[in-house]
Amino acid sequence: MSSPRVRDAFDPPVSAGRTASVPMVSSALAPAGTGIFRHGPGRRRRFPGARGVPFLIGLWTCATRVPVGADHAADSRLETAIQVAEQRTVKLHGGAIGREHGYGSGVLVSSDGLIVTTAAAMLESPALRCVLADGRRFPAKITARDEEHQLVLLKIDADGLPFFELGESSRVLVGDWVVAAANPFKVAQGNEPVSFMVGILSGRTVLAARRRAQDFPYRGPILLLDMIVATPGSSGGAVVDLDGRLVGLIGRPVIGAQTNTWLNYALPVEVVTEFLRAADAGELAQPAPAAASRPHGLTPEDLGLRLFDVGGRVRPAYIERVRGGSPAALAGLRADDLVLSVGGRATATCDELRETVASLQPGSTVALVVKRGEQVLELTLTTTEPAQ
Amino acid sequence: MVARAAESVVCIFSDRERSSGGSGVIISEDGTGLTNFHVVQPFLDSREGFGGLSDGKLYPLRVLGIDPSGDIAMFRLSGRERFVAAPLADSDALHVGQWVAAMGNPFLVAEDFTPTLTVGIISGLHRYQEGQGNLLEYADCIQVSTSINPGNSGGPLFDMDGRVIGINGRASFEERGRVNVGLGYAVTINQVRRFLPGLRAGRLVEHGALGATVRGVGPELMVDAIQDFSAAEKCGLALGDMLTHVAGRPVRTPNEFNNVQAILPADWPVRLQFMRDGTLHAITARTDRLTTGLPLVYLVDLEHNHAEIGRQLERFEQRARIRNADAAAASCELRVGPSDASGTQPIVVRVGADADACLGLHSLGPCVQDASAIDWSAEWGAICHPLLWPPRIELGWELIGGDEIAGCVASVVERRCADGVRLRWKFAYDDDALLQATIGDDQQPECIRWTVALAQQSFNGAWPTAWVREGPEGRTWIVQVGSFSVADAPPASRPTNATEPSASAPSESGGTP
Amino acid sequence: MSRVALSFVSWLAVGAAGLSAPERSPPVAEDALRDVVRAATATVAPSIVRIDTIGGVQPVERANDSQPAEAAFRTADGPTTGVVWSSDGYVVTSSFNFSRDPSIITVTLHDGSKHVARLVARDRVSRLALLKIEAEGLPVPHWLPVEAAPPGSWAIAAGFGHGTAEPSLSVGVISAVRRMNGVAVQTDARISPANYGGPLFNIDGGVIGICVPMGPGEDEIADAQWYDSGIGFAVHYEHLSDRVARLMTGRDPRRGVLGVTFDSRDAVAGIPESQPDAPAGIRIMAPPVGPAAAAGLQEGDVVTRIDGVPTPRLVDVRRQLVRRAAGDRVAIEFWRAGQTRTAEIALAAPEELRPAASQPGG
Repeated sequence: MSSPRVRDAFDPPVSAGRTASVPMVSSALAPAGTGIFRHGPGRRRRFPGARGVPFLIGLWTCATRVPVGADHAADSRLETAIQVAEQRTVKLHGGAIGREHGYGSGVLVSSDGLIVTTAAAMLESPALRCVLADGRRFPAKITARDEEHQLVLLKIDADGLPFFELGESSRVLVGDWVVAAANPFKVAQGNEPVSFMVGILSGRTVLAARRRAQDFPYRGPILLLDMIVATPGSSGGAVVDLDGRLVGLIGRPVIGAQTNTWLNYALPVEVVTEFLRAADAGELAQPAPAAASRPHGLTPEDLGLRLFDVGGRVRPAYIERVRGGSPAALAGLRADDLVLSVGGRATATCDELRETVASLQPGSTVALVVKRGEQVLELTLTTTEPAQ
Repeated sequence: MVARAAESVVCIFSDRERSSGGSGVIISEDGTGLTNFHVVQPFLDSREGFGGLSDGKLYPLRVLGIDPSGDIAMFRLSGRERFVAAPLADSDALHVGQWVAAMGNPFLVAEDFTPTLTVGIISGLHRYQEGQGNLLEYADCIQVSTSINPGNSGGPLFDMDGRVIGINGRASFEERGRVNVGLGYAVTINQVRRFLPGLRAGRLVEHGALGATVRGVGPELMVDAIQDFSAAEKCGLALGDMLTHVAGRPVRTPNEFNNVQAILPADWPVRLQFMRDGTLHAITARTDRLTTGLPLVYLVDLEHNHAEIGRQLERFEQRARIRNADAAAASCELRVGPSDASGTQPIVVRVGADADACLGLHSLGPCVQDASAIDWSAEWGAICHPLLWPPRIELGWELIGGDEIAGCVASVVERRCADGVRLRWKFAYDDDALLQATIGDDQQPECIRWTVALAQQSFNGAWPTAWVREGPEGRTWIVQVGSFSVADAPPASRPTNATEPSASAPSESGGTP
Repeated sequence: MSRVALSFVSWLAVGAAGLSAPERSPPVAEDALRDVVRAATATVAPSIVRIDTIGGVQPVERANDSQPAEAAFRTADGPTTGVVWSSDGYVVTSSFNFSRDPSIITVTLHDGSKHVARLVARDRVSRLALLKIEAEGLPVPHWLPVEAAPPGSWAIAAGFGHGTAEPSLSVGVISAVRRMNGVAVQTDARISPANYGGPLFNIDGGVIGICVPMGPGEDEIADAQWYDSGIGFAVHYEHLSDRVARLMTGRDPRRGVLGVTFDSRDAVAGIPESQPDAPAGIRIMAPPVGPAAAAGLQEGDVVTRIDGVPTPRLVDVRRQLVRRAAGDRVAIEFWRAGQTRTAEIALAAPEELRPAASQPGG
């Protein structure tokens, strides 16, 4: 009986309007069966408000903004963070398609029902529903999406909701405790609190991953988490610090290219902020542009390199030739050098080198690490505009 | 303290090759412990398995009672005089975010039987995880971020004081094989508590059902269906009643109602509070039996059952100091008065030392009496006679399960006499104090109840003297029992051969109290 | 530096992992632990190296008896991790990191300098590997004995597997000591390709062991699948010292077996043995082969000691054998028909015994 303390503060007031739209019981509902039937119709009824029109829209008037860290009977900062996160994390239910689950999580980012979550097939369901911490259910609709960051903005028709202020993830350091709030495996139903995990911020890196057989479009910074959040339904959930401030959004389950393991990670809150800004400014077209529309990037050839790009399945990034006077030559690269990394990203294969070079900005300076004989050298290369 | 807790953790194996198994935890120094039903299911035929302890040794393990619906089983280890037992916590006092530790034998990596310790937090409480039909259902369970893997099943979930708060038994797995992904589930120890008497008695225990369904009406819960002849109907619940509390817990959603209901044993008292016509009502129902549908005939191990009765009577007797009563002391005075009046009248009752234990009951006949016809002598004699002069425990006695009396879990011992009379004693599970005695027949097994008055339930070494008697006539009586005049007699003359109920009883006698 | 934040140690062990605290987790445990984790990491960090490999092919897993099978777990392309073993350039890491047989290995030290490394030798049984770089004055970490980190104490795993600039961290507790035939400690910190070869250290900055993929099987690739299970292993210093000494010879040690099949049933308290006069030991269940047969062991013999260490359970035999390698000589004490005898046996590699004896025991 620990949760009532958490829940009571937010339970809506009982109002007459609340029951009016729900039909009263009729005797016809009484089953005529015999035998014990605890597992009868009522026993399995998990969605108390599912039937009928969602009631009480617009009736929610009591103040629900809770000053962070105030007025809670929490015994520790961890529990304070849990209470704050619980109220601001929502459960999403949509349509299951094939191996894609029909449920997920999201975070409230405004008092009038804006919700950010990660892209998911189930969001495309016309019957997309959002369940708040207090158990109220609302239909939700997509108002913006960002293919590159795999983020989606939802809107529900509600007001006076508790929500996360969008701050900075940088105040959380590696080793700091963070709390994740989400609804993995849709364990929580109705007004049941979502699930909480605790762990430290494990590290920061740049995402390079694949989802199922495909490369994952987002290639930006992520927060690595020392807890398991790569679970069905967790993505879109909140990652908060011990003060209950949002520091990240749990990302879609992906396999990391560098470890070949499911990554437990979050998108930094700054990515969410930028997404909201772009959505607000109307920069996100509907539907959003596919990643393919990005202009083609630099190639090793642009830099004056020819790679020893033949042979077996794995082709180390050996340089076959360097064009005289090219950026590569100016940087001091020579034939037979093995490029180990470009701008800190390992280039174990020719493909990876190409990929990394493609991400470089023309006119920028980047550090290269190469192996020459038994030496490891660091070189600096300045890129030029791609050849037309 | 980790080391201490580890000593109570059992690596359970179904065979000596240790090719498959799970975990368990010892909760009593005699080697009695808890695990999951699905851990012992593979060797239910023989009921014999093996338990490895952190001392590196393997001990014989015998399955006692089972709870297939709640996925719990009780076992007892042998081969050692005393075992290290883990204390039990109050799992209703848990809160989300609290650190908890699991111990057990995941993936059977404990080559020397020292358990694996994993630590995490409580991710959620009052979770509901469906079972298969009425089997292996996890209601009102604890969800933890602590790593729970195959092999952890049956092992304890500890709070940070080393007390058992639950029995780990399930985890959510998907896509990644049967490997932990941060969602483990444990049966609360408070659920298990109610089943302990039946489990200890070596029975297949069943869960209860009210036979009513509810639906959410806004923030409230309305009874929307009641099954014919069900517990809900018998206790007077009606369609449209707005339930507020079940078994003392607030219920606001169908899930909460299900959670409360599913953790109750069959034939269990459950207090229902509800609003009807604007006023709050409270009634007590007794749950129906939820059959498991398990294709399993689980016979009670009577030898073990009798040993348990013996153990219980012995502990009772040691504190109550009654067995050394001689025949001359076999009379006492009852002061009887109706509960609504102040005056009481004395009645002298004789309890014959040489009489058959059920003798006085013949005059009770079927359970229809009027107030004036109460035969105090016969009732009181029937109740206390076997406790004053317990014969050897015969086949007529059986430990039949549990009950709850004023919030206290009790073990129920029953004797069925030849004329159909049923006599039951109910002892507190925790300390073997006598809580209630009932007399009845097959139709109404608890037609007459003699309940020890609340003030006396903390039992400190004396035969209870204040009782409340409820009978079929609907009247409640207060009964004060006078002295047996045996209280100060030293127990030295106790004939040990007559008091040993069974050769296989645990050696807990210990001589002088 | 290595004793930083010592005052927290006992208190934290009680508060969050030890089970003796009178209250539940202390209110500020999370805050205090954070600082301790950072301090401990800072202590160990100079000894943690990043390993990059280039070339090689995806290993084909051997399911059993070198039958080819689908690789259950693909090794990835990212960097891996190692720990400085000696100031003159030896680096200890996990053999998992080289299962692709890379053509080039580089080691990046804490100061950012990058060195080409030589793979000295690999021990696929203990999942260890030894690298050598040409460098001097490397910072050797403070190694802890197994007993210094009992179950319930905090443990931190660190590694470069995610490509992070600083090692990424995972915090857990010691789950058990002397697992995997006694060579490893077990932890619920997440041990994965992100930190295989990296250190597992306590909140005092003392290194407990080297993180390795281990599981019930005998394949380091397949065992890597356990990475998120909360069941992780690190080879402790005691075993490391022994194995590194072998690896320094430049030869890969191979599993050493006796050529016998043992009775895998452990004795059960209170149940008499079939041969009550036999001493505590384990029985040979089938005619021995290989070196055991050559040494005169027979079916029915009860092995009571190996190199003087009593072996009442099968795990005791395994713990002795895992510390040795093919070619080692062991003294076996065994019981036969009321008499205790001894034999000296040179351990064979498993493939020398095929097709006869296999599991269990060795």
